[in-house]
Amino acid sequence: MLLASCYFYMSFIPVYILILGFTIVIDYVAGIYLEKFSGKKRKYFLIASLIANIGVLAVFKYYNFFIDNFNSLGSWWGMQGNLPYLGIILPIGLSFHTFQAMSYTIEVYRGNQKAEKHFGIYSLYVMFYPQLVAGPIERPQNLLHQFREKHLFNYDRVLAGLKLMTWGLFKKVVIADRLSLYTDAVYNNPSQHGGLTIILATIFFAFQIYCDFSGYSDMAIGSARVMGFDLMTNFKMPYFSRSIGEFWKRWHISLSTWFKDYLYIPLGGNRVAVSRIYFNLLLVFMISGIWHGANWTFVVWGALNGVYLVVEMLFQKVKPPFLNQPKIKETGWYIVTSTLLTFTLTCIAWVFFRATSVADAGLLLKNALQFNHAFFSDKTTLSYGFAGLLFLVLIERNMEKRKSSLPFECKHWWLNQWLYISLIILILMIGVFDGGQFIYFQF
Amino acid sequence: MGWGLQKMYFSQKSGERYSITYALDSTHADLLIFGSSRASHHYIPTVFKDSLQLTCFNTGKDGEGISYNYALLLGIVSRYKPSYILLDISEGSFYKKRASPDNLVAFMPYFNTGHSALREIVVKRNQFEKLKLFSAIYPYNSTLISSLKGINNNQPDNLSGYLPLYGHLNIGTLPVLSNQSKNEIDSDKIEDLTNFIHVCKSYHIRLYILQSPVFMIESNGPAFAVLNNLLVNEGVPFFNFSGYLNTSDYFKDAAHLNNEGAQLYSKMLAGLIKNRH
Repeated sequence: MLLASCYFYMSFIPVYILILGFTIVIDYVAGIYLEKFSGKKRKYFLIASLIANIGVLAVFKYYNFFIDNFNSLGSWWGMQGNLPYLGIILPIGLSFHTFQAMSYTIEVYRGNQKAEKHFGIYSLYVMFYPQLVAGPIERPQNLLHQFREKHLFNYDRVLAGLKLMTWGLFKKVVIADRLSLYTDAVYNNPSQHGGLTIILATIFFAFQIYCDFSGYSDMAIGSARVMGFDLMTNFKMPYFSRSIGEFWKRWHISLSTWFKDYLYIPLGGNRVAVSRIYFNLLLVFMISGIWHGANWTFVVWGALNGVYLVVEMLFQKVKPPFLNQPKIKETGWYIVTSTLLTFTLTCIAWVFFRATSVADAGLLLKNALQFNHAFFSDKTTLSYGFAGLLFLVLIERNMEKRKSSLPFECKHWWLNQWLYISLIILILMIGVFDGGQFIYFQF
Repeated sequence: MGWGLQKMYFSQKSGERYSITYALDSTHADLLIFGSSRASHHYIPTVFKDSLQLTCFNTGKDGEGISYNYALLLGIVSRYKPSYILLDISEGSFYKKRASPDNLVAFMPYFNTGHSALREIVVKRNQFEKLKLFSAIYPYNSTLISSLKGINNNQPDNLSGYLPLYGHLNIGTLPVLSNQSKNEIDSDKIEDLTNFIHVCKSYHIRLYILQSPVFMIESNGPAFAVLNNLLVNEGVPFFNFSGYLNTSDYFKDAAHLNNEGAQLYSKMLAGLIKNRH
């Protein structure tokens, strides 16, 4: 399995395996010494491990971003800012790998996890190929022990895994990649579009990124399940959320809980003064933003989500008491209004996530309110896109009711299998096979 | 299902997909026009036919670039040899883009209908194509809506591939143009253009390469110099009309002439070709 994972990673840029090798050796040794020593020495090993991981990220992911900003700042102050850039491509999935590695050393430091003595098993924990490049970011308590267990062939598990993979592939190629044809055309030419086109492209992007990322997660979880491994759930139908707080409990759960466990709670969590809670939330979300990419757009996206959460918490304090009554919260108008409001706020934030610069995002938001541009009508993409979205919403609504991760669970065996075969036929018939990469691979 | 989709696909009587089928399997036109949407909206076959006394068909397709055109040319010359080809190019399409506009999969329905040369090109571009082509459904990927539309349209295509645009350019919505010089030239596309020229030469087809009118967009990026050098070295006539008809009345948008503009441009070009021969 480790060899397969190495091959998988090396099929991108082979030499980059050395970067993973570097952090693996450091974290493996740090884990052993964290368990061996006590007192201050343990802290040093933890710090060494964190510096190694964050250092690798800083060099490969953020160096050029820092230099770019430093040079710009220098020019602004009238100095000649010409520090050299690094001509490197970001190693695929580096942010996911380093965060999973850090969760190991932190958990060993906290005493929640025993240090892994077997170098191969530890390496596999941070290189397990289904989730190596785009998560879910696993915790050692959930995954490490599974590599020591014997996994016998289990027909039901294999079938369930294949079904989940099929659903993930459907979301990726039928919905996400189809919608991307429209969103790319609009977002790559922000000055050419306005009003309804930008609004529609943004809604499409919201579903594109969801289907792209949750599709990958489904395929990762499904393929691991086929091999007998259980990975954590990463998405729980986030666009049915009725508040931003709920959205973040349903979206990219493995990252949200990572930040909660390893940053928000150590900063004081909910046990500090209210103003400090607000500050911590903003800080965590801004760091979460920059985790996604070395661009101010991601920082603004994170900050905006942090602001949403703070405003939501403030609103909880001042909103009329009748809005807190359980009866009201279950009424149709409350559900629809709160769901749509949450979705709208999320979409506004996605503009920054998708735009290539903050200036472009500003232009898109400004143009979205101007309706003098012609509507960009790509009829084929719109037809397939809307049909796919309708299908997705209906299926996920049903999945939400059933509390299931599988799209179909019929009583009749033959009907169940036929529905999954239909999904495969739809993938072949209307999927977009242009080799479009997963969005989160770049992180 | 694959059989049903195939039947539907080849029963189309109009539309873009029908034009591909017609170009590959039926046309014997003396003059063929190749290019992207700028070809399909700018070159009127009836104008060339009346002026040059040559039959003409426009194979231009929205969103396609030189790779598509090269593959289409290979498919056509395996059946017959046209006398003239007008290839419309635009400098901007020779830069690397996040998503390649070339949709070679548009040729998949023809793999099993005697166009093996196309199959080789598409399969070479993507290592997984061979695997996907085990499915009889996959070659007809994303063709369902166009097939249904093409079947239901009883009006035959009498414009020989020309797609007229109506209306005028709204100058207020003109885009702010990005700096092309920041982009990298796509060497694959330059290679495809070179191959296109070589195929024309080997079949003794008279080739004209043109850049048709654009509204207030200058074609002076680094790709333009590369293209110019290539065409001079190959001895292919190149006409840059990007500054021609620079009036918003003749444009539908910054990159496309309206029907009025296309009429004027086609007449001018037909006259030019007539004078040269």
